[in-house]
Amino acid sequence: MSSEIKKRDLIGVGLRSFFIQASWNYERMLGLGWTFAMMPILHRLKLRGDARKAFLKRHLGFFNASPFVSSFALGTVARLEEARAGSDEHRTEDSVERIKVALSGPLGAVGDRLFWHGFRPMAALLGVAAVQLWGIWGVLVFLLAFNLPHLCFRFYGVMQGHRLGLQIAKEFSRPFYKSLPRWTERLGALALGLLIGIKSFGDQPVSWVTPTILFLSIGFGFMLLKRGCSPSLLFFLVLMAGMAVVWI
Amino acid sequence: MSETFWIVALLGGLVALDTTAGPQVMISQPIVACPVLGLLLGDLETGLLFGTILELIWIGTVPAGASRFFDSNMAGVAAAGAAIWAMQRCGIARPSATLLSLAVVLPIGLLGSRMTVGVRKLNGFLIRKADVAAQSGHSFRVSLCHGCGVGFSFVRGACLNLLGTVTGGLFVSAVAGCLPPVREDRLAIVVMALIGLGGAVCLKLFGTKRLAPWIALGLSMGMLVRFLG
Repeated sequence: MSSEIKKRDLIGVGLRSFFIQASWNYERMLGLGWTFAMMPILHRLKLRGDARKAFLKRHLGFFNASPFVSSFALGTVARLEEARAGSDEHRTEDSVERIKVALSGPLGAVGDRLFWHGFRPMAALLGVAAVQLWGIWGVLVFLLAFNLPHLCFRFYGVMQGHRLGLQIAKEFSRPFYKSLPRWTERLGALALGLLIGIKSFGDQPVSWVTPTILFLSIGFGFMLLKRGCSPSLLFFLVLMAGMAVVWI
Repeated sequence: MSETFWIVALLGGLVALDTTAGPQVMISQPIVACPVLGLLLGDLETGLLFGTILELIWIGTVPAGASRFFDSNMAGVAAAGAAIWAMQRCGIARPSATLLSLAVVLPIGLLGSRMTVGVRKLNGFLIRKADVAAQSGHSFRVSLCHGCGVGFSFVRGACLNLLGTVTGGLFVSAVAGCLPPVREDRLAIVVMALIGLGGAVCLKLFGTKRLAPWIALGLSMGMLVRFLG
C-alpha cells in the first residue's frame, strides 16, 4: 500500500482546518486543532507504535496563525511528513515544530491583514448596503463576498503548501498578495460611500432631518473615534442621548 | 413558547461556534445572524435593523488569537431576540422594545467576552488530556479532546443567548410598562444616529485620502440608486 499523500487527504485536511480554532487555549493556542487537522495525513502514512506516538506528540506543540490561511502551513508540513515517512532518513523530531513556529508569524500577519482587515469589513459593508436595497437577500451578498475568497484560500492553501513544501515563502512574495489588500480597501470604501448615499436619501419621504442626523453622527463620531473613544462607549452615549430625546 | 427557546439556544450555539471555533464562514456576524433569528421568530424587520446597526458599529472587532474582544455577535442575536420576545409575548410596542433592547447589547457583549476567556482556559485542560492520549498513541482520543472544544463553544453560545434573550425580554417588558410610548418617527431618528455612528467607525477604517475618490464614487452611486428608485 502506498503512503503517498493523495488529493482527497489534502481535501480532508482543508475541511478539518475550518475547525482548527475550536480548542484554542493559552498554552499552545491552535496546537490541538492543528493535530486534529493533520489526522488524514497520520492515517495515510499508516504510522504505528512509537512513530504514531511521536507524530501526535510533535503536532500537539505550539502553533498560532490566522485560521483562514493556516492551510498553507498544514500543506507544507504534510509534505514534510510524507518525505520523512518515505525515506530512511530520520530528521530531528523538532524540525516540524521549528517550521510550524517559523510559519506562524508570517501567516498570522498575512491572514489578519487579508481577512480581518480586508475581506471581512469590505464584505460587511457590501452586505449592509445590499440589505438596504434588497432586504434579507442582501445577506447573501455579504456571505458570497467573504466566502468565495475564504474557501479558495482554504483549499488552494493546503494544495499549494503541499506542492511547494519549504518553498512556501515564495507564494506570499507574489504581487497578487500585495495587490489584494489594496483592492479590498477600495471596494470597502466604495461600499461605504454607497451605504451613506442610500441612507442619506432613505425610504421615507425626503426630509432634511434624517440626512442631517446621519451626517452629524458620522462627523462627531469620526472626530471622537480619532481621539481614542471606543465604539462601545460611543454606542452607549448615542443610545442614552437618544433615550433622553425620546422620553424626556 | 418552548419552540422559541429552542431556536434561540440553537442559534446562539451556532453563532458562538462560528465566532471563535469554526467554520468561521461569517454566519455569526450580526448582519446574518440577526435577520435569520428575525426570520425564524417571525419578525424579519427587527432582525434586519439590529443586524445593520451592530454590524456597522463593531465592524472593526477581530475575534482572533488571544485578543479580548467585545462579543457583538452574541450581543446582537440576544438583543434582537429580547426585542422580538418582548413584542410577541408581552405586547410591547415596536419602538419601545427596539430602543430598550439596544440597551441589552453592552452587558451581553461584555459577558460574552468574559465567557470566551473562560472557554479558552477550559480548553487548556483539553490539551493536557490530549497529551496523555498522544503518549499512548490514541489518535481518536486526541480528536475527541478537540471535539470537546467545539462542544464548550456551543454550550457557551446557547446559554448566553438564552440568558440574554430571556433577561433582556423581561427587562424590556418591565421598563417599557413604566414609560410613555415612543413614536415611530422618534425611533427612526435614534436609529439613524446609530447608523451614522457605524458609518463613522467604517470611515475610520477606510477614510484615507487615497480612498476618498472611491468613497465619493460610492456616494454618488448610492444617491443615484435611490433617486432612480
